[in-house]
Amino acid sequence: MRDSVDWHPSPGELMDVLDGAPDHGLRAHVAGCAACRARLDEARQGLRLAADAEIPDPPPVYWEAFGRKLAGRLENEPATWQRRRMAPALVAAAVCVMIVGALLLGRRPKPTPTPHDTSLPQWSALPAGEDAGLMVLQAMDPTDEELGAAAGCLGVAECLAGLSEEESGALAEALRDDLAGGARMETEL
Amino acid sequence: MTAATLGSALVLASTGKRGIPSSARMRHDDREDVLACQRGEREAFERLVERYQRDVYRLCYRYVNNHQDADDMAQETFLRAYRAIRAFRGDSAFATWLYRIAVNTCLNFRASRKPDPGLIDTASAGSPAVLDDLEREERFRLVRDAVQRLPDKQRATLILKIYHELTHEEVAAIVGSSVGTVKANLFHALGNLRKLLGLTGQK
Repeated sequence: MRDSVDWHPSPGELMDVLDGAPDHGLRAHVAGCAACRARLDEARQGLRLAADAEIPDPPPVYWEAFGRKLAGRLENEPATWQRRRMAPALVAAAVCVMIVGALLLGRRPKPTPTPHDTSLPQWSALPAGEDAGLMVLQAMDPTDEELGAAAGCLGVAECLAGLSEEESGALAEALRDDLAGGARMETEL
Repeated sequence: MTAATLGSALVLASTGKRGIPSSARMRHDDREDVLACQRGEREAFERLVERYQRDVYRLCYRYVNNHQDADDMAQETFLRAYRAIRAFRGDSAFATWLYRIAVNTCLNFRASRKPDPGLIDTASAGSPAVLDDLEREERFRLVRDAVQRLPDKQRATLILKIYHELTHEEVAAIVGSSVGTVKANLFHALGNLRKLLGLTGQK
């Protein structure tokens, strides 16, 4: 590759030549290559220009002020060892907050029953105050879904809709008997 | 001229500036102070500041080219170093680590200030004849301005290598490049500096 007529050192390799690093034949190439020699001369000139760029030195009093100003700012910084000691405490505090939050979420009160929940179920044949079964159910405060789930369906309405003709008839019969019994009791009383 | 580079030799001969410790191994007093600082001794950090404030300030000045901003950047550099020193494990020299913070601080500052102007039209720069007639201070300012206009990596490489005499390896560690890239960037930076000062075609 390096023997090729078209080959020239890379900028990094030319920098090595400029630095005086071991050249691995680079110097010989540069000596015989006008293009590379020109690039190297340009870089040397750039180096001389770069050297010609002193910056003004602040007076000694500046450094005292610099130190004082920095010390003032460091005062407002938590010290490195304080941060190290605080780290476990912060982690512990974060864990506590998470635990308390989880507990509070877990103990969230049940939603208050809506008026629909407290209304008299349509299947009750008796006034609410006299239907002992209903009173028990209301005390248990079951939702429609809970009632339905007990019967193996999603809700009371779905349970009723799912009854066969025979079952519907039997239910109607039972309700009639119930009503008749209630009426008898009222008459006897 | 053996190990010393031609570049360093030229710069040292012409400016006589003191560079930061260029050894990759951390100075003993730096190591002691870093450990003390990590134990919580603020005085140890103040000793580190005292030791490096001039170098950091000069590095920042090369980037921002005015005293006020250089002062702000140097303060910010030490503040960031203080916040991060607990995480410093000594894998590199303290100076290298501190310089990396300074370079990043300056780059962030420049990015927030204005877009990088990039390479200027060489026709707008002064001609060699005019350059020769300028007073010394003005010439310094022109070169500093030209350094400002170099692309970020070239500028960082030139500043760290030429003005702070770091090794190629240290510069590579600071700017996050390979050694080969650092050498190439430096070579391009020197050529571009010459162009920026309107010296195209001059020997």
